[in-house]
Amino acid sequence: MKRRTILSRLGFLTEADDVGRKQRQAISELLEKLSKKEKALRKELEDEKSESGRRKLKAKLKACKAQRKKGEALLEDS
Amino acid sequence: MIRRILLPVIFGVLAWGFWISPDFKEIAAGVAIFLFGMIFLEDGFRTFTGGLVERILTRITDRYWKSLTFGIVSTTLLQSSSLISVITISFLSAGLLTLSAGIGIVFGANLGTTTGAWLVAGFGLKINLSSYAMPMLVFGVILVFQSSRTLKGIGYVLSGIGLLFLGIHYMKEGFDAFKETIDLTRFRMLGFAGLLVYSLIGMVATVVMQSSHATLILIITALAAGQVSYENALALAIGANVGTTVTAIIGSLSANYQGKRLALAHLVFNVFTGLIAIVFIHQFVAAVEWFSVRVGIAATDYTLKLAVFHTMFNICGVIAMSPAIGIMVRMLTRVVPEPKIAFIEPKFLNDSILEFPETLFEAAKNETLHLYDSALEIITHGLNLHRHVVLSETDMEAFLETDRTLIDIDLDTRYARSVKALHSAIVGYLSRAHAHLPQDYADRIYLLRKASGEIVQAVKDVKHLRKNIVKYVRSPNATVRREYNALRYPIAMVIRTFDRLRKQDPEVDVLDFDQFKILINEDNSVATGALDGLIRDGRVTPEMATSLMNDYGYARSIVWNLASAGEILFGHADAAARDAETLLRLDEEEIEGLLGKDAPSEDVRQ
Repeated sequence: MKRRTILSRLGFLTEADDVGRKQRQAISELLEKLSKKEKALRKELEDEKSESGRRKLKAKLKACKAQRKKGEALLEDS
Repeated sequence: MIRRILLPVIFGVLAWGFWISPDFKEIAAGVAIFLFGMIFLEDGFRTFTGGLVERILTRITDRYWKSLTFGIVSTTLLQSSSLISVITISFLSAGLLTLSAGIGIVFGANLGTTTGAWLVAGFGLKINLSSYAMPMLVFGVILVFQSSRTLKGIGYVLSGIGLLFLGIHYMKEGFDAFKETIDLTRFRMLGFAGLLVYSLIGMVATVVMQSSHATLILIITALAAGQVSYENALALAIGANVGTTVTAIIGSLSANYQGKRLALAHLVFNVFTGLIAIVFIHQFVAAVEWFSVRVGIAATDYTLKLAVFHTMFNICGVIAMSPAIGIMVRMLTRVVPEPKIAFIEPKFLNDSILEFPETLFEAAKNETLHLYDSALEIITHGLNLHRHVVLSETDMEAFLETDRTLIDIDLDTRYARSVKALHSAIVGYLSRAHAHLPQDYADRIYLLRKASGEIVQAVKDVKHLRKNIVKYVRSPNATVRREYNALRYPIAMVIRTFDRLRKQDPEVDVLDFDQFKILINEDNSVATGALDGLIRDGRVTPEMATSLMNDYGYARSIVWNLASAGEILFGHADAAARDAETLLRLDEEEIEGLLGKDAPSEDVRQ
């Protein structure tokens, strides 16, 4: 049994703490996924020659990066 | 299958008929012009729907006796029961009248038309409205080009009447050859059989000559020459009274179900009246003689006697049929039912699951996806794209650049049948379900309702976008084509992402929608401000530019709405993960903030 689960069962963690913890964990997982995606996109962008293809990849990268930054800020604040 | 071959078969038969008979050609052209006139007439009257004309018509026909009087007076004035009948059919088709009011007018028209014989016989007066047909057509067409809605409406009505007469004229011309074959003496016979046969001849003669009036003149001539007996002449008049309904029947071909009901009412009334006259022929003859003696009609004045007979049996018909109007309306409603539009119905929602929140949520989600499926056809075809292309791995950009085919779709009908009806059912059901749900489910159900609203909004936006998509994606101007493809591309990709999420593709998640929200902002000249330059360089006209400005708004709305619906429908099953997705998703302000920030490749290396 995990430490936090034991603490939660013993009543040292409130329900809100638990929800917050789960959310932070989910954000961390998403951030990990986003980082991987960014790396792959960066690589794709380097290989992409066509202008329109680059525009589309840039939009994808922008979204990825903005989401990652937003997630990092959220984790920092919590 | 039958439908598919029906039209070519009809065309083939008509072409063969035109080849072998010039008369047939004229009759068919007459019917076509007549129907064209009916369409004009209906369009014209439709412009008055909800206005003064409708209010006046409603007021003067809201009681049976009023509509009957209206029919009598208008037919007496215009001396054409056929015209009054077809105008009433178009009133009904345009929704300006109720069926019972229409029936009253048609009954009245049958009485009004009997005044024609009186006018001819008594005063030698003959109103020939057809002589006004050509001027009506000319004035009508001039009015059709006016900008005022009322004048345009009057123009359509006048042109319609003009075309009706022109059509009748051609039908008459075509039937002229057959007129010679009408030999009233050939079937000379007495008794009941004679009555039936001559009624039939009278009917056919009226159809052939397209005028009950012409038949009456033929009857009077034949009677005066001793070619037919007096009783047979009366039977001919009865037949003419039935034959005259053919005009209304032809007119109803282009009318809606209400117009068809009225044409049938006209036929039923005239056949029923004819049967009364045939059955009680001896009583009618006696009554005519009695009346003629009282008012001083000469024994040989068959014109007036026929007028008396015509009036008498029509009055009898009205008296006999009036109490049965309600029954007649019910019968007509059953025989000619209102065509049912095949609306798409909910597949997953039913009252038995109202008490089970999880099942209800799943059913509501499936129904929203059902709505999405119905909407998808309209959205893709509205954007001139095939679903199989959008949902495949096809290189969308290359496809958009090369594809020039035009997809035909009636967006309004499709929307009414498959989206609006289903959306209404979902909203109605979920509103009822709301009362049965615990708060957490109520919130999720609220989101599903929001998603279905967003899907519907996307369809509405496509309806706006469609006009210029059709116009510009096939334009020879490469710049405007590119700009419109730049609007279509992110929408198509949102749809593709939606589909991949639905298929639970592990490579995709709801955060992927954000890239297309960015793309629609960055990859077109409206959002980037490059449009002014394109106008200055003459690469797009100001008209194209204004279209683009409006359509950018619609396209952006489609992307955001479909993405939002996708985020709701395919958010993570786990609540915490779903919340995390919602928190990381970019909002409108954040997307706007990214506009113009370039070089993301360097950016991401930071």
